[in-house]
Amino acid sequence: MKIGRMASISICATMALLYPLSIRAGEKPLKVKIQEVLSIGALDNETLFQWTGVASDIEGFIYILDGLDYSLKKFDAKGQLVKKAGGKGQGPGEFMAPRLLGCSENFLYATDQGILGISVFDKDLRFQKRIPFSMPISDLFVFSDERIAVAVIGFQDPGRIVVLDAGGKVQSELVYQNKMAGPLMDSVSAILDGQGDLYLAYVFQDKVERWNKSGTLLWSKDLLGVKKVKTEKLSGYVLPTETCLKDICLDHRGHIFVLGGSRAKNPSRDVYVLSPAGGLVTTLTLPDTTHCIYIDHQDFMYVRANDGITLKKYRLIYE
Amino acid sequence: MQKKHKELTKAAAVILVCLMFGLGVLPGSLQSGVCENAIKECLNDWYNQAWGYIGTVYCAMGYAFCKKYVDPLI
Repeated sequence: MKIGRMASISICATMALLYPLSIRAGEKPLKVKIQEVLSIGALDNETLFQWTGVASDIEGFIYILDGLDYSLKKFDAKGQLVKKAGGKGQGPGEFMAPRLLGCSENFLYATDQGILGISVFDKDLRFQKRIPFSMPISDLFVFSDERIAVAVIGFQDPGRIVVLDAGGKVQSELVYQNKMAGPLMDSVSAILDGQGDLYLAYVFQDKVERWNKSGTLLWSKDLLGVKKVKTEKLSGYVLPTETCLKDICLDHRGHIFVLGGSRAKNPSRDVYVLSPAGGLVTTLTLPDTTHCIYIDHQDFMYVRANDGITLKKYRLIYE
Repeated sequence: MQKKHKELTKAAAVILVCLMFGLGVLPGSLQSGVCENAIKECLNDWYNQAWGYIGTVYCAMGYAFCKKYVDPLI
């Protein structure tokens, strides 16, 4: 009896000690609200036609890839267009189907579905060079002027993350699936934190993962309760037809923001906020659908509105 | 008026994706299944077939992007 009581006290004491640790780890309930601070492009003007990628720099400039305009645009912090570059074509600095955009201290990095490699521009949108890369890129992350990481789509090979130097030389590679899950099933959005840990959100699987820089899987979580997505046989390939998770990014508190896809309760609008340990902290719902989310160095979040004609910038408010 | 504009933007989004697949605008492209139709056209296109595996991955990437970008518009 005495032993049982002692054990109960010990368990309670241990829990009391561990509870603050879990709070420090970011597991405590938290509300995240958004407040609009800027809107670029509207239905009644021609500022943006169909933007695809966004990045911002430490000075507050916002850079946007516009798919229907085949251009890269630079806006100041108030949303005024400062400069535009690009044009339709495959020549230096031109675009066929601009997609992803990344930003380092001095350069911008743009991918294009119709052109292999990564186009590099300076902050005045002057084309610098094209980093060679032989495979289409499904996501892009910029560490510095000298180092970038790309996600290579998984079709018949398992998906992988490749770290490149400024010349396109492969520095390291992480294959995040041991076996092929099926065409496109390994497609991911990826982001890296300051420690070099990698976070993956699977587009066609209900799965978020965190890997350390040594290539060890730290945790894997599902968010939507989806066991299997619908598939369809298309030209001989069985392909997924529903999206689970569309994008992933981090704030400066270490929270992980994941955009839900067509299987989310509010498709392309629900954003799941996870703690660094992978626990679901809260969910926020965007007013409009978006294909991506981007959080800058000051914890402002950028998303799509009006089907790509508008870019919205929101302040994240933590309660 | 704004609704009409919105319909036009949806059409523009579909055109964008079709262009990314290297295709013209598909008939009935504002209906569901636009991404599925587009990848079928893409995989059956002789030019993409000539590129072999890279051509297949190119079509797959266009499909994945279409599912992310256009699907919520339909």
